Amino acid sequence: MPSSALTPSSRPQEIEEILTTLSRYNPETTTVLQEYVATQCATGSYDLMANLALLKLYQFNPELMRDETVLNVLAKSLTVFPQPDFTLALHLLPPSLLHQYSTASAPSTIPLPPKADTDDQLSNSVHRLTYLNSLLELEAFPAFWRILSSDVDEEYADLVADVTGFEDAIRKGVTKGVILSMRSFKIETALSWWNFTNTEAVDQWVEKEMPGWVIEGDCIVRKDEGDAAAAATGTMQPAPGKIKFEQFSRVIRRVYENELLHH
Amino acid sequence: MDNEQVAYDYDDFIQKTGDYDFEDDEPLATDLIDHEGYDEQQLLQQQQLFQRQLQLQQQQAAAQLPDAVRNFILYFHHCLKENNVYDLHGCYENSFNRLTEKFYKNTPWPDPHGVVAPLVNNDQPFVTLYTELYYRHLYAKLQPNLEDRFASYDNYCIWFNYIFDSSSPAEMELPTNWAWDIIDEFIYQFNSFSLYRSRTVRKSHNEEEIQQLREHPQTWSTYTVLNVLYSFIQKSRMNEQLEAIKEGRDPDEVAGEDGSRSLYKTFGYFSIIGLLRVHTLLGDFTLALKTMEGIDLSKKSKYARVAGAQFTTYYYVGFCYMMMRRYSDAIKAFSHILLYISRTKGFHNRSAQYDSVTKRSEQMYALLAICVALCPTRLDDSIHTTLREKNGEQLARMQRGGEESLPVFEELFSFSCPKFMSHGPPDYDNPANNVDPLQHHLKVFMMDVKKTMLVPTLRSYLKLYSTMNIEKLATFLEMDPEELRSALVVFKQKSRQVRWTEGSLLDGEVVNVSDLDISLEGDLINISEAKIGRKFGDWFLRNTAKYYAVQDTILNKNPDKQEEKEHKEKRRERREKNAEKKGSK
Repeated sequence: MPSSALTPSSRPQEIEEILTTLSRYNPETTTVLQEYVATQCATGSYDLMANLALLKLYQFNPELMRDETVLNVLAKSLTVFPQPDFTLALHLLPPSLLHQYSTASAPSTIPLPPKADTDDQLSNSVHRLTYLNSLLELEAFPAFWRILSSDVDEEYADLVADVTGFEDAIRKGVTKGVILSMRSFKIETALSWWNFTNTEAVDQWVEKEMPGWVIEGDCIVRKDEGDAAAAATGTMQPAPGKIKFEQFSRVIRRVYENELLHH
Repeated sequence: MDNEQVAYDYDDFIQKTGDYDFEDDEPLATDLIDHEGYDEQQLLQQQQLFQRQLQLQQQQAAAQLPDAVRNFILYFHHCLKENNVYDLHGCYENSFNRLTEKFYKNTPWPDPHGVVAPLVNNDQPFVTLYTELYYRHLYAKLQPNLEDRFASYDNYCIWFNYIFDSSSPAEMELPTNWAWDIIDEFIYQFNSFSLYRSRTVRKSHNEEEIQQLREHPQTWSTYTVLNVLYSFIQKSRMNEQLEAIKEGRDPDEVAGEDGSRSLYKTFGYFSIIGLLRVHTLLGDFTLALKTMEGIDLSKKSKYARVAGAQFTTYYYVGFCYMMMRRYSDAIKAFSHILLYISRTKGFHNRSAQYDSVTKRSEQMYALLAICVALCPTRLDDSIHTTLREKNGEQLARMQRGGEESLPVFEELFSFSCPKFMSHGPPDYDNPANNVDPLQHHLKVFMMDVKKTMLVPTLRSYLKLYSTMNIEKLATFLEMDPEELRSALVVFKQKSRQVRWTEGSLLDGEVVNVSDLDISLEGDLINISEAKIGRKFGDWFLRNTAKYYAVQDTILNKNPDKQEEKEHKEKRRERREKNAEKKGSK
């Protein structure tokens, strides 16, 4: 985790105080941290450590837990996939919330939505967000957008509605994966992965978010030499088998001892 | 990560936690223990009553005390009074275990208050320390009941009270490993109490016990335990001291009066490791590693000599890394400590903690197997050999991937994870709400594992080609080409991990951890493989050494060698003991 992710520059002094002192255990700071989550939702900033501290306070003081905030924390952590933030947050939720969660394995690699609805509303919502997270981490973007805009189950869209710029944040995540692993990328695929309806939107996105990439024919192509390029040049350099001089100590001592023995 | 000093604001903490109603501004732990002292007084009164009734019996018991045990207790007491750390170490490490073997294998040690206290003129510090040993032995060899658990907790409160309460730092010194054992056992009993409580609520119908548990929500509460650990760190100014050490300054400059005393120093340092453990048990892996900010694992500290503390540190650090999907850091942590254990096997064989070390290292091999399955990595040769012996079959099944591998992951995880616990008391009124935290963490962990199920299969195919068409691979795998495209991006992303390079444990950089790399060009997959050259030099050197050994056997030089080795070992042990003696004086 790069250090900047642990202490975002957008973190106010007040929050920094809470996180670095024992105030992080003080139930009264719950309100401050809750408001901070709302700020993150509104402004697009993100602070994992603060959000985890809030979930921990909820564990210590279950009576203070606000369902809406819990769900917002989870929704926010979806925007930084494939970082493990969503999972780290799940670990800090009351175990009963996920108890019923199971997805049926589909014939393909993409799981089906969670089946059993429980009586508990919060639990159901956590299940839905967990499912969204699975789709993102499997890079199953067409399925992700389909579920999110589903008319059958509108709750998915409701769950992320509080997060301003949610869709663009997800697109940025998708783009990171593309930049990491591709040298050229079909516009047809781009449309479905980014959930754009027309190629103009793709043009604009590439221009804004993918410096060094241009559109050529029906493909988006990398022009600079990035991460993926290194991989394409055949075999990588093998690690040389270095030996340290100290490793010879035994051999040298042996020779010396033998000399002594023979003379 | 910011390098600002972590300031623990105690007064704030006390006033705002709300659970305790403190009137003055005394440091937290003191208040807390005063509060508990009230219960303790009641308990003592009851005990006195009880004692009077049983006085006769106890006198008999005292009379029946084996001479060896009586002498030991007197000598033990004498050493503590004299602050003779060297002999205390001997009493603690050797005599106590020897006498346990001889007299108290299946029975508790003599009752602290009835039998031992009169022997030592009711010397409170000694009785408290003895009581700690008494309960630790009880927990290890017998089944503690609820009453024992409460009483042991009260005893810890008295002991911590004694340390914190004295206006001047307590004039006592303990061997370093004893200090570690106290912190370790304190957390162990806290953990064990929590598990006992949830088990009682979930399964047993012992209404009386449930009632008792309901009435004492503060006993062994998470807040209390965190308080004690944070208080030690605060009192010793350990984080400031570690900061100073990092910057090459003298830690005593910032330690203050309390922090420069070795008793506080050791407790302060070990409390940090204690926090690492408690946070992990509660499922907060990021905070656990953040707590270790001040400790530089790459440098040897003087506490590194306490083997138990080393094992604990690396086990929990490795586990937290694994849960944060930083498998290569986890592998590094586990390999490091497992190598250390295998090299020092000779020492542990004789120590009382042999069983727990063995169990711990088996757990770490299992975790190592999980990490290697999720992130194929070349291990140290000897670690690799042992891993193959211990978990070879399981590792192979996990490495094959697919549905069949999932039960193996589950099995190994359940076997080797810490005993997870919940933050607060269980829901007494709705027992159904009390889901075992292990099941919760296992489930979340398995979600991660399930997402990588396809990776081994992809890997085995990609290894065979240098370029390949997505369509073609999709046909081999009998899957949809578009899904395969996604799966390939997942594959690529899994090969990138945050790995520690410098700074605090949470820091790191994103690096490539895989020997197989791909890039997609439209529908074409370009594949490259880093072939790690065999280390011929290593191999020749190792076999040269083997050849020497064979030569020696033929020349019958071996017995001498053996003796020489033993001598060396003994000398080293003596040196270490002396060093410790000097160090703690």
